[in-house]
Amino acid sequence: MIAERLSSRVVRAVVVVLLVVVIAFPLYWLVISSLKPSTLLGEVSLIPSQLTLDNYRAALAGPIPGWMLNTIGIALCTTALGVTVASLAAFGFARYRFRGRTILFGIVLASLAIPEYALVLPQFTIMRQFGLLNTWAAVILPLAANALVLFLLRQYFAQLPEELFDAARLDGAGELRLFWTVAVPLVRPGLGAAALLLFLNAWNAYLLPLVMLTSSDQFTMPIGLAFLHSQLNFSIVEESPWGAITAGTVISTVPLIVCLLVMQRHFIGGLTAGAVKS
Amino acid sequence: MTALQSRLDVEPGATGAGPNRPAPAAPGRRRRALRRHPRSAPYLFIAPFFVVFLPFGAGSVLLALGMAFVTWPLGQAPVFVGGDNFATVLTDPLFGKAMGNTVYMLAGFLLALMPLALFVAVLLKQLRKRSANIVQVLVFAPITMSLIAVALVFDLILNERVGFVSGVLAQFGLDPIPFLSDAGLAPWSIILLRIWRVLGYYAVILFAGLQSIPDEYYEAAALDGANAWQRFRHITFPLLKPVTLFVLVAASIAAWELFAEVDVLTDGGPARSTLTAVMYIFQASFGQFDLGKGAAASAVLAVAIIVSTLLANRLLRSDDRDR
Repeated sequence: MIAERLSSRVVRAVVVVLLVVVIAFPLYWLVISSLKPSTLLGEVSLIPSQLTLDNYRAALAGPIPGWMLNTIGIALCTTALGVTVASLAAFGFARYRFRGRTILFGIVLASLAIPEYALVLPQFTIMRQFGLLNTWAAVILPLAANALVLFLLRQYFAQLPEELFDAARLDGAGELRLFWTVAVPLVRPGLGAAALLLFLNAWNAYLLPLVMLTSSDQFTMPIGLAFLHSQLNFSIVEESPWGAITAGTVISTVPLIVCLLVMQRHFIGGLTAGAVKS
Repeated sequence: MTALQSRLDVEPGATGAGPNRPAPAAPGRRRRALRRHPRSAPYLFIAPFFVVFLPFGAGSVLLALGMAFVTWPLGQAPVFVGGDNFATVLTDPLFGKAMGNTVYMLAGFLLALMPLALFVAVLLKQLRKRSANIVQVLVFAPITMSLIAVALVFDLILNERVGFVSGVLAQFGLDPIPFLSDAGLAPWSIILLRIWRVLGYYAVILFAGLQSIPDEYYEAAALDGANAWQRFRHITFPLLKPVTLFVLVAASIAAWELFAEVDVLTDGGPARSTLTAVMYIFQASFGQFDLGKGAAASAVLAVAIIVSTLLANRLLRSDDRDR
């Protein structure tokens, strides 16, 4: 009996270690590769014989800082705009009855059934019409109009007791003050989840910026890294941009992993609460 | 109500606690208080969202439909062509190939992902709380990476020229395995990296579902002499079903839209074995500048996604009724 329990514990420990290794090894290999001189890229030893920061120097001297800036700017603007419009609308839908409410909310819900990629073409033609191609706005606006975030936030606002608002109204508070001073502080976890969702979505977006951003100085990191990677076939290993690619991938990956480590519970809770677009 | 329904199931507040508004208990005062807001207030609250949503959400859906029925050469006005674009797309063997590849990779992805994610979730549940937390954070990390970053990481491992695996094989004097340049292997390499990215994410969602099942059920079943498999079959499986359905639907929608990884790693090759439906749409629209053809293919794919989501719901839900 004891031996049996012990052996099942050992098996479990082995499986956990195996899982951890399978998940962690590719990350480890990425970091190690970014620290190797490019001539040693094919070397398989787990601890490289030579370490260098040359790849990072090369990456920072090239277009990567600009791409990083575009990515951060687009992600922050998308988050700010998306959370603002969605939380106002969520409050409107959750706390008032008004003519057209059911229909308007129904339209928002129905749009959730339409896959994201299918809207990229019409969004492209709209942006072309307005001359907004190749600008941040062409990526920010489509990503900020996030129906899922509105839906998620409406749930949070709907749970607040009506008495809170009645009391504030009797004290003479206006509607916008009800929103800002009564409701918003109480739905902070929801706003956090919404912000995280919008930010990650923008940070990792590929198809939309690929279509909208045409000149390389406007690229985001995913587009830029894919562009560098597409140059690989035309170069020999020693002169290839692998160094910049590995360093750039680390640079674009580390901030979010650090956020995950720092805010563990909030980060995981926020993403699993609302995230559907993986 | 399909993907949506299952989205609702795991969202906070969807657990039954949140009716739209509390029942009006003390009518007199409440009604007066409610009336005090100006009529325009709700419209002003929702207006900013709709300013962005109408063109890029709802409007784009309509425009997408319209575009499928026109031919729209660059710099010219669109011309109505009826169902021509659909005829072109549906008779194009390349589109059939792209849809077939997409379904093949989707099926392989789901068949591998679902048991693995469930397995990891059960494993997390069996760990002590502190180690479960540590493992949870680690397996969650890949989902924060972009698809492109993940694709590049796996290129470092699977690439024939400089990849880790070829390097290891070479040390034993073996030839490299053509993970990305063999038509049979390439789709599975794509599936592999996709699973690596999302396994922890879905496992954590299933783990949250597992934790909402009361321990008493298992204790009672154990008292009645149910073995581990019977407990899984009769308690875990039925009670976890809504969350499982959510994971299944979310994962399959994402897999239908497969594009970024193949765009970077294989460009649809070798021998078009990894050409996906979204890649076909992208090439038709921005390679051949045939927006109408791209829009028609988009519509066909969207219908396929919606129908398969409805079917998944119907099959798994009706299964409930039989019991």
